[in-house]
Formats: sequence, C-alpha cells, structure tokens
Amino acid sequence: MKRSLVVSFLALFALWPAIQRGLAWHYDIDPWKGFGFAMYSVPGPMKTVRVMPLLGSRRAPALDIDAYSEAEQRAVDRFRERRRALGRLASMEPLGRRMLELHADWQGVAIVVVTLSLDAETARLALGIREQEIWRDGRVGPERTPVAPGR
Amino acid sequence: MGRGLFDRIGDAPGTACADHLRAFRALVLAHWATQAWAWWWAPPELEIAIGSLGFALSAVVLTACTGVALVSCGSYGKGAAGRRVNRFSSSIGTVVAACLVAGIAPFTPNHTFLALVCLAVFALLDPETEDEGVLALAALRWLAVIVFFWAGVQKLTYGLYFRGEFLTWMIAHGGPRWAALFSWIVPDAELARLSSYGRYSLEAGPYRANSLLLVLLSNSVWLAEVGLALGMFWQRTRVAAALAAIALTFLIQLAPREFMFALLYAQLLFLFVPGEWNRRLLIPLLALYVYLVAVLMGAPGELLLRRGGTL
Repeated sequence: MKRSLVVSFLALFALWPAIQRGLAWHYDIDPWKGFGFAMYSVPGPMKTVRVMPLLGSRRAPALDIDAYSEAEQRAVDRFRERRRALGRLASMEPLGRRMLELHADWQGVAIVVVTLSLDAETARLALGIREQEIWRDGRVGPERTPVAPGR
Repeated sequence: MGRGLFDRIGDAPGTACADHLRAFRALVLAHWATQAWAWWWAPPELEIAIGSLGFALSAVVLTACTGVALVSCGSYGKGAAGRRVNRFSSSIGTVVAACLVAGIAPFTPNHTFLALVCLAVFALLDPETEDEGVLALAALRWLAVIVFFWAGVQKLTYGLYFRGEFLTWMIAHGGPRWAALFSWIVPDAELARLSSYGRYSLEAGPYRANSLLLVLLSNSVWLAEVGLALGMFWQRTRVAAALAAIALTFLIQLAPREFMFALLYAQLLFLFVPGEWNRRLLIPLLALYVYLVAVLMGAPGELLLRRGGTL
C-alpha cells in the first residue's frame, strides 16, 4: 500500500514539470515557479502594468506610475506579482474592480500588461502586450492582444 | 514507473541505511526551520496568506521537530518510543511545512516544495523498518534524479542555452557577480558589448555568445544535468554522477548564491554516495544553516548571501 502510494506520487512528481512547462507556454506562468525546476532556464519574467481610465467612449492616457496613491500602488503591485507568477491565470478583473472603487468618476478601466521576454529565435527581447477592459456596469471585455501594439 | 524501474535506484534489501536516513531527516527539518526563521526575519514582500506570527510559530515548531530528530540520531531513535516520537514529529513538521508552502503560494520557491516532499517521505515511512527504510531511500534518490533531469530538460526546451543566450543575458544584466564570474572566459570586448545593452531595450542584442568557450560551457550545463541524472541509475556510474552533480550544483550557485537549494540538493545526492556523508557532516551542515540565518540577520557572509538577499 505505502509502496504504491510512493510510486504513484513519484510518477506524478516526475510528470508535473512537463505540465508546468505546458502551463508556462500556454498561460505564461513564471518558469521559475510552480515546481517545474526550470530555474535559470530563462530570465525572470519582466512585466509592467498600466492602468487606463475609460471615460465614456474615450480611453484616457495611462495613470502616471510615479503618481499612484498608496492604495493604487498596493493594488497594482499585488496584481503584478500575481501576474508574474501565474501569468494569464491571474485575472485582470480584480485590479480593474479595485481601481473603479478608488475612482468613482471612471466608467471603466483598461488594464494593460506589458511583458518583455528573451526570444530564443532572435536572442533579443520580445514585447508582449495583453489588455482587458472592465466596466462599472459589470461588463468585462475579453483579455486580448491589442491590434496595434504599444497603443 | 514499474516495480523494476523503481527498485533500480535503491539499495538491495537488507542494506543498512537507517543511520543515514535519520541524519538526512534531521537536516531536512533543519532546512525547514532555517527557512521559517528566514521568512520570519525577512518576510517575502508579497501579498501572501501568512504573517509574521505564522512564520514565528512555524519556526518554533520546526526547530523543536529538528531537535527531536537530532536527539533521535543517537541510539534513542532506534527504540519503539523514539520511533513513535519521530514519526509524530515528522508528521507535525510536514503539516507545518505544507501550511508554509500553501501560505506563500503562488510564490513558493521550488526548493521549499522539494524539502516538503522529502519531509513527507519521513511522515509516511519509518527508516527504522528495513522495508520502509529501503523504500524511503529509493524514493529520495528518485526525487534527486527527477529534479536534475528536469532542470536540464527545461533548459533544453526554452532554447536559451544553445548559443549561450541565458548566460549572456545574465552577464549583461544579472549584476556584478555574474559578470565577474564569467570574466575569465569571456573576452573583454564581449563583456563591453554586453554591458552596453540596455536592460529593457528591444533593440539590444543579440544576446548570443561570441566566445566559443562560453557556448561550450552553456551547453555543457544542460547536457550535464540530463546526463548525470541518467548516470545515477547505473550502479557503476552512480557515485561519480552524484559527486559530479554536487559539484555542478554548487558551481551553478557561485553567481546567484542561492545556497538553500544547493544545500538541500547536495544532501539528497549524498544519499547515493557510500560513507553516510549526511551523518558525518551533520554538525557542520547544521552549523551552516545557523550561520545562514545569522548572515541574513546581519552577520558577515557575503560569500553565502548577496546583500539584501533572502533565503
């Protein structure tokens, strides 16, 4: 019984890094985390988060990251760290909802995550952008890659 | 993983391994106690589900469990009462360690998860029983092989070692230790090229090594990890592979100096080497753990821990 348990667990332990690799590829989770033993395989994830108010149909410029209030900074830091670790498994919606709580005059908010990663093919940094719109009336847009990067 | 394959890595039934496993159990608990004290002193600057009090309580419990395991390294541990106390202590330690792993998720370092699994082996299996001792030894050796094998395969799959891309990046942006460590094999012109790259510049690069020696070194890392993991399977190559893996593990840590993983992993690899080195080195290794905490708290020891670093 104990032997079967040990062998089964070891089989799972041996298989897990392959699953973690798949999660890293598909969801952009941090290769250094998640028990896949991929430390020192890639540079640590480089992610920045921008917050853009949605005022009516207009998207305002991103908030100045140097002018965040303490509450904004805490919310953004918390999301960025989770996003670094969990990739796209960390939803942008909680950060969006928190920002709408802090800004009663916004109709919605766009969260933009910019990722820099070392591309194996070009051996240069590659830029990845994902964004999502969260509206006060409850609507949540899909998380997507913007059509025009760097918007 | 069939029965034959599983047993291939273990010792023959009847091989005495209890003394060595007892010492390893004490070291794993000491590893966990060290980690808990380190987190109490310098909590991760992250939104996690565990606070200072949780770390402090965990550290006290894990230190007590370490004490029990250390006492049991003597003849006391072989008796029925000693065995019961140890199973209980390993189980408590496993539960506390699991709470810590869950409490700092999803930021849990890989080595703490590995330490948790090692500890769980002792919560499940009694090294004083011949059958379970042999099973525990085989399971722990398997952990070492799996970790090393995947460390190499992961480097292969990300594709940043073939032309030295990862090392080149770290030399450029990993801080002075990385640059200093590789300065003896990388020509000055290449070091100057790399240091001119802006960390976040999309135009910078390519991050490829011009130095043939660096390319060879880069590829030898993943090849060695996969090769040595496979080498641990065969009786004839097992000891040499384990010793080489210990050396490689510490070499890899020369620049980043994250010795918690290296220490735990070396102890796992000692389980392949005749001579019960975990038992022989028990006191120096325990002293090293204590010293690591002291360095974290401000004692001199830049060689072991980078300034402002954490365990």
